[in-house]
Amino acid sequence: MRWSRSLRYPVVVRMAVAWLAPILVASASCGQSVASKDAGQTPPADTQTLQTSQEYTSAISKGYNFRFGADHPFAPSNAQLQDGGFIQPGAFPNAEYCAHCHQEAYHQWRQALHSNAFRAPFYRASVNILIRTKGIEYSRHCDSCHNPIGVLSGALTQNSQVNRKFDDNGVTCMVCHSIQGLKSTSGNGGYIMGVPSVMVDENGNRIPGEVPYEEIMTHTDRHVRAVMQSFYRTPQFCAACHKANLPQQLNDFKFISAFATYDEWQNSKFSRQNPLTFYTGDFKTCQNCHMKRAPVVLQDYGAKNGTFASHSWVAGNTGVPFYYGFDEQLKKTMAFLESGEYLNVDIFGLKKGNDGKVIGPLGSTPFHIEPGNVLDAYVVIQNKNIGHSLIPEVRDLYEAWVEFNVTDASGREIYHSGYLNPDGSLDERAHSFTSRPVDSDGKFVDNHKVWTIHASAYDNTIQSGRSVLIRYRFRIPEDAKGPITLAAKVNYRHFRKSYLDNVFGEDHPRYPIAVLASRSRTLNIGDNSPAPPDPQDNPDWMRWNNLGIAYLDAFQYAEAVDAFGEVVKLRPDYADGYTNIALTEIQWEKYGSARMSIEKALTLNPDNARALYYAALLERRASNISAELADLQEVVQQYPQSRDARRELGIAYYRQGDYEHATEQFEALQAIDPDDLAAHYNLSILYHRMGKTKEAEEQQALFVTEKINSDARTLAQHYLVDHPAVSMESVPWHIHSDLTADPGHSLQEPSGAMIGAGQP
Amino acid sequence: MMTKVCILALGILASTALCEAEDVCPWINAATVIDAPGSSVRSVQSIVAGGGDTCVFHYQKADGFYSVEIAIRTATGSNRDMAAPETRCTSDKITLTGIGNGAVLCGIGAHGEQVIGRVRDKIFTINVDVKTEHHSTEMTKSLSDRAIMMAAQVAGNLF
Repeated sequence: MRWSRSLRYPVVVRMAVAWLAPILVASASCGQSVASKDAGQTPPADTQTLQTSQEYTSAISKGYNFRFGADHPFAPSNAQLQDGGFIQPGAFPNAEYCAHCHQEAYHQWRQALHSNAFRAPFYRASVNILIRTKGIEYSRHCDSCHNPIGVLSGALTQNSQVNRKFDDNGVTCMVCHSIQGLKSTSGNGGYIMGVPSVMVDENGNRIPGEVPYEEIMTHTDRHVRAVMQSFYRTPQFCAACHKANLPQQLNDFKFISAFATYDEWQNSKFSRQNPLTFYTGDFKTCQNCHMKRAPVVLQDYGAKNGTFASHSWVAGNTGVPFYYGFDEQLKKTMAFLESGEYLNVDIFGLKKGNDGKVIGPLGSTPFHIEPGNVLDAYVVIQNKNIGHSLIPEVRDLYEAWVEFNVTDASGREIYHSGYLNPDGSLDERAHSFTSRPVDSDGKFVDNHKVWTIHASAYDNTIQSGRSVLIRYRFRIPEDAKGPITLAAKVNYRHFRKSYLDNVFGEDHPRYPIAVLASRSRTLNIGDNSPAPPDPQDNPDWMRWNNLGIAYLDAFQYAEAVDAFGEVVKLRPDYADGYTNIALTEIQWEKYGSARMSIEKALTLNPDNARALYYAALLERRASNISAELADLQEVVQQYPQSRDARRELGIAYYRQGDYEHATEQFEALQAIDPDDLAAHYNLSILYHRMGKTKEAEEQQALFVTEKINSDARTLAQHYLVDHPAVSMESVPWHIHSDLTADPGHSLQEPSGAMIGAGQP
Repeated sequence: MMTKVCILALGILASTALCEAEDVCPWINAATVIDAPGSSVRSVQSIVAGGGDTCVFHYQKADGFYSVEIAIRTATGSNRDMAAPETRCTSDKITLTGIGNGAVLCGIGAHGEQVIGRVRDKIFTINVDVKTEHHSTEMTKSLSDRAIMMAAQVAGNLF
């Protein structure tokens, strides 16, 4: 039987009625008010048969809370329906329907985070607080990504009578596969949802609802046209939800940036859009890492050549599969995290006592140590192959940290940092990659109550391609049995214990911990000679380079220049080595010596965009305007998506009074990142000068709301004063130690760096 | 045409029932409880007591008269387990994964299923039973599925 348009309506009607009949129930009530917070309008009587989406929209609208305006029904999110109105939940074919032909996809999806995005207790614990304290309409912000059908169906309003059985499926197949367009890369559910459809007709028009499988199999091309869009394979698709901010509508305060995983990727070597990365790499999208093709196990008509793009979206979430008992997903996730491919741990060097010299790279440098020596171990952690920060997104909930310990040959523990306490909580002095958002009183925003965040008191991460240096100070006991072993691990768990306590109470099992990377070194008490390099180690030039990057990010410019200097000694033909010296000296404001280094880089590679960018900054400093422009124009020519290059070229034009070209650059910058502050600021001035008053005011308003609030530092200070361990961690050059003051050894670095006070 | 008549009838009957409701159940709405095409449901009645500590739904379908009772209480002291006093199990308990801190499912009586679970210090109970002359294995499975689905909804809202 051919599926004709006239036969489609009964299916639509059946689905609509299943979802809408109870709405009729509510609509036909005697209009009593309900004792709910901020109750919506009284539902009017409506006994019409609801066959069309217009009728559904009308029925929903009568009782819907349009707090954020009738023209923004899904605010505070950016979600949008292509045809406006609302959409019946039953209009989305459910995942079990898709599973008939796509068993592999369904099996993977069911265990993955997308399907559990709403129902997971880790999410519900937080969003329920929002609903109870502010109102369910505010949760549209969160659920535009965690439960899109809930938002788009109009279910997120007081006293909704929409059947919520879709909650169990979170981001279901036909949510992603019905998106017809993307809004700007501002995130917050920045998608344009079309009518869910698994088939187009002979004219390319989308056929709503479920279609008999036989019809699909007869016209697979029309099925593909309905459910696939080319942009599904791009990072911009992921950005619709993997970038978020907290808008004023949500927090009644101002725009607060939440996370920007897409922007981090765009800035990484994998996008090949940023000339300023320390290392280069092959182009890789989010999908390349998180939807890798693998041999198909179950039947799936979407498989190609026996492989299928993974719908497990393996990443960092061990919590959800652990909670639901999804052992296959948990195993895949642990294997992914522990593959050793993403981070590099380097026990780079040692400092002895008050000796200012770092002995390193260990393994390549001879040295001598003795019992009683106080040693500083220099551990460098490199974010080698992650296309975003470690750890991305909500690191107020996730917990990654460095565990470092020193043992002697008898197994005696000489020093340990980053241990777990008996109750499962983390050593508060551990070096952890977490954040501490604070509220208007400077108190830690626990429970992910994002709508109360006013500032960030602490945010420790390693951006893609960069490195951090962690120092640990310990004393070799007089009676230590050599050799001693130094071991450093980067551990990760989803979630921190105190968040799990908030969700479940304290009686919950221990959640899995993954070891993302580790390295150990054995040191003789006495003489240590160079040894053949370990295959897992970076070559020495890179070890120095990563140390230099870590010093640079810790504002230790002299040490960074020295480290980069070692790089060019080992690789005198490495242009980036000289550029690294130059960019450090530029930050250090030593422009004369920076120029010498950048000229060396350009001698080796005259067209190198990275070197040209920094050369341009030096030309600006020297007021060589034409040279500055020429350099930046070349950089933009090579990297048109580079935010830094667009910004600086815009500034260069602006300083010349060339407002038209300056505006072009900042508008291009804004197209790359709609929330870029420099673009807002400069465009507000440029538009004003060009007489575009309305546009100027818009940009000014955006700048005002998106810039960091003026009391952010004060709020951060309030938190840090009350939390000395975190305060210590926030000092870039801090040292972890259990040692107290020793008459023969100062606890302070020559530079006055602070050292974490330990137990006697 | 019949579809339209049934929907109309449902609306009229249900509106009368809801006008008698004390309050709206804070844990789950009637539509989710019933989860059935409107043409197959009639005589919907919902009662909420204690500000949501108890929610009762009654509705009639072709295959029987259904009763759903949802109860929430705060566990005190050591009474955080799900053993008593709400337990009405007449069959072995099946442990459910992924609902609350924990939950179990069991049969109650001839044609009923019960889920008892906990979210932090809240014990929730879902009882679903049906008065019918045509009970079957499929119906038991359906009742179990309904009870589990509702338990997941209630637990999710309790978190």
